[in-house]
Order: sequence, then C-alpha cells, then structure tokens
Amino acid sequence: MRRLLLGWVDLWDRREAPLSLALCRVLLGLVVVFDIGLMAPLDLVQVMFGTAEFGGLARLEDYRKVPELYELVEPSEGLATAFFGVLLGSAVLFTVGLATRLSGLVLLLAWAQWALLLPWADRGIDMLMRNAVLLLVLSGSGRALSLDARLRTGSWLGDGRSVTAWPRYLLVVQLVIVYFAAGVSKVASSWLPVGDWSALYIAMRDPAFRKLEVETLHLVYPLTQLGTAVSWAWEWTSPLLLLAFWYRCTRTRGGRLRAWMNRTSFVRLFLLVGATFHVGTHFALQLGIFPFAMLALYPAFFHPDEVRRAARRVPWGRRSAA
Amino acid sequence: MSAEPDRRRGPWAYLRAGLIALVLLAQWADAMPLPELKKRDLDNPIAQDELKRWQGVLASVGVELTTEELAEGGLEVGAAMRKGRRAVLAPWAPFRRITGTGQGWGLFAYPDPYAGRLVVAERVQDAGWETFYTAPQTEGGLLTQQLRYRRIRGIWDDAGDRVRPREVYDRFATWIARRRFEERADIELVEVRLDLHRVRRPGMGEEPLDKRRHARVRRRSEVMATTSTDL
Repeated sequence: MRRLLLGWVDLWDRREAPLSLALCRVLLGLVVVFDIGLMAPLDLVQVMFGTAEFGGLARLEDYRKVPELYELVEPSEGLATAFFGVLLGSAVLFTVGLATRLSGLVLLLAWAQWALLLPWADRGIDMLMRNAVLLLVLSGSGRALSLDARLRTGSWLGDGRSVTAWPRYLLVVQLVIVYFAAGVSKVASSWLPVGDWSALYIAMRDPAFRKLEVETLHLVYPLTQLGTAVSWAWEWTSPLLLLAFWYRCTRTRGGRLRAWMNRTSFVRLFLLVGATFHVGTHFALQLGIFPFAMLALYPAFFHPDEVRRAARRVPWGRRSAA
Repeated sequence: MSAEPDRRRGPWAYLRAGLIALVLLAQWADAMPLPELKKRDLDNPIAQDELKRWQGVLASVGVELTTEELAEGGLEVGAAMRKGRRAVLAPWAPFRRITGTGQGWGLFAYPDPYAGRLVVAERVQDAGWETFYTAPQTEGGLLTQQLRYRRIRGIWDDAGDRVRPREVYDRFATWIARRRFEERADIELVEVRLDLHRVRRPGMGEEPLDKRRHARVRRRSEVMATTSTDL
C-alpha cells in the first residue's frame, strides 16, 4: 500500500520539457482566437455579448444569480464591445504566450462570465476548452513556443528547464473522460444493433448539422452504420489508453497484454482512429470548431521528446528542435 | 507519458498528489452519465420511442414491464442519482461557476429523429409570403452565415428545438426579424419557425412532410419601434 501511495506521489511529481504543453496552448489558442474573432466580421458582437435592451439575446432577469460582471457594471453597448475585446485580446495574448498565465486566467474568467450570460451559445466544447485553458494556466505551457520564452531566454524553446508534467497527464485524463463518458452516455437504441446502428445517419440528417445531400446519405447508409459501431466501441475502449501508458512506463515487466500493447503501439493506433474520426466528422457534419479543438489537445498524448523527434522530420522544425 | 520523477519528495508533492486524487474523483463523479431522468424529459417524443423500444428489448429477455412502469423506475433512479451527484459536487460549485469548468459529455447521446428545422419566412408587400431561409441552407448573405455560426445555431437548436422553447428563442426571432426589416424595406412580417423534421432510416417508409412548429411572427412596426429584442 505504501509503495502504491509513493508511486502515486511520484507520478504527479514528474518533470519534463514544456514542449507538448506549449504546443497544446498554441493550437488550442488558435482555435479559440478563430472562433471568437469570427464574431467581428459576422457582426455578432452586440447580439452575443449585449443584453436584450441593447439588441442582444441575453436577459439578466432570466437568471437566479446574475453573472458577477453585471453586479459590478451596468449593461451597455460599450460594455458588450469591451467584453468581446477583453475575451479576444486575452485569447490572442495566451496564444502567442505573452504574460501567458495572466492572459490565460483573464481568458478563462471572461469566457466563464460569457457562458453565464448566454448559456445557450456555450456548447460542450467550450467547457472542454475552458478545462484545458485552466490546466494550461496552471502548467508551464508558457515556457516554450511563446513570446515570454523568447523575451526571457532569447529562444522560442526557452531555457531548457523542465516543468511539472502533471498538467499534461491531466489533459490526457480529461480527453479519456470526454471519450469514455460520451461512449457510456450513448444509450439511445440508435447506437446499438437494436436501433440498426443508425445514430450517425440520424445525426447527419439533422438540419442543424447536415452537410451532405440526403441522397448521398442514403447511398452511404451502410458506411454510417459502420461508423456508428466503430465510434461507439472506440469511445468505450478509451480508458485502455491509460492502461497503455502504464504498460509503456513498465515495459520491462512481464505479461502478454503488456507486450501486445507495446508491440502494436496501441496509443498511436487509438489516436489514429480518433484523428480519422474527428476529421471525418468535420467533412460529414456541421460541427464548427469541435473537431479542431479536440485535435488541438492531442499533443498532450505525446512526451516532449516524441514531439521533438517528430519536429526534426519536417524541414522547418529541424532548426528549432535542435 | 514517461518522465523522470523528482526523487526529493517535499511536502508539496504529497499535498499535490492528494489534491489531484480529490479533483479526479470529483471530475469522474461529474462526468459519469448517470440516468438523471426528469418528468419533463418524458414529454420528448424520443423518450417515448426509447421507452417502447427498451420495453420490447426487456420483454424479449422475459422482463415484462409497461412503458409507465419503466418510466416510473427511471424517474426514481434519476432522482436518487441527481441527489447523490449534487451532494458530491456541492463543494466545487462556486469554483465551477467562476471558471466555467465541469464535465458533462453527451456528444450525440440521443441523435434526434424528431429534429427541428429552422425556417425564416417573410411577407413582402404585393408579393405574399416568401421563404428566406431553410436549414441547412448554405447560400445567402451575411444573415445566412450568422445563422450557421455554431453559437447562433446553439440558440435555435438547443433553446428552440424542444417541446416548449425557452424565452431566448423569442428574442432570437426578434433579432432575425430586425435584420430582415433593415435589409429590405418592403417586408411587412417575418416568421421564424422550427418545423418538426421527421428522420426515418432508409427502408423504413416515406418520411412525412415537415410540420409547422414554434412559429413566432414579428411585425415591422413593433420591432423597429425599439432597439430591444425583448418585445
């Protein structure tokens, strides 16, 4: 028992280079900047950030507890514009890594206030991204691939000092939770043989998400059934990722399952299916930023050394990864 | 995930490991999709379909239950689950609110064969009613692009596509109407609807025509007399 507890303490006490976390920060930040920034050319700032009396969709009277910001400041058109500006500005700073922790914290708090103001416009993926931003704020993600690192050390990769690895581990756990909970919650019969594995087809026919013509969907119905079965099974097996990581850390020990998982590169196989699934749903369904936000967190699955090795394979990465 | 542990364990290492264990417990408790069924959930036609289907599945393995008994059982379990989860998560509630974090991942848990289709129609002077937008239409100007933006889609798909639309749906209808009145001076009325669009699997028979639903009609004089979306 004591060994187990000390092993738990050691696991969360590990340190590593900040590259994987930094990459997650940059990729996630780009998705957030795009998604929030899009509201300016779409002329949606007042609609999404304003209250009803100024042409917005939110109404403070609807809530039992008013968002904290509106207890401090009276609603106005100016406030809506400033709110948007703070959100977008902090997202940009967080992405480029300038005052990374502070800008990330401002982004998180402002985003949460906005979610309270207009919860119908805040989707599950927003909450996932906020969870990730919180972990990245608590991590040393600003110690590489950031203006902070460049200004402080003269190098985009920082001074080579290690950071705590637990935020990356928690990002991995977060993604496993998302996939597994999504799999377990799929109890509608359309996800199962009893409902003809028709879930993806039905989702793809929903006018809110439809991208393909109905005739095309009829033609590829068997493929959508296969996709339904595979995605359901894939989500259910996601906790095996944690087991695979454990087996990877203890590869010298015995056991057939351990040997098989390490031999087949289970982690990479799982992630390949995941990436295919996300890219596929992007082309088949109107999901907005969802696939990109999920994929932006995939670098968390890789140790910084793996990221560095991968970077060396691309011409522009050789110099910076050296 | 391999990395080198720092062998000099300080008190902070123990405290952090304990805190992370607590956080993980709370996050799993939050994320687990427990059947927190409420009575109003049963008004949804998907729920009625599911009850019938699961009644059949249970009957096939020798468990005979009426759909009412199945629903009753679901409601009892749902209430207990809701209470238990709320108790576990209560200490975290202020933190979750202020940071907007949490766990709750459905990802198409219940694909909707009774989907809502957003339709915007308008009555034009000397021309009668014309349809301006029908989801998932892609062609069109700025308003079409706005309606396809994922957060706006969330308003009509999430708050509107339900047995009784939420109040924000009314303000959404007013906002669309104002945009159309500003764009064209000859529009007298704008109607925003979420027609019921029945999806059937291939081979399950012809799909019925969309059924008009949740229509909100806005008059130019009312909408343009104020800047508010709250009429």
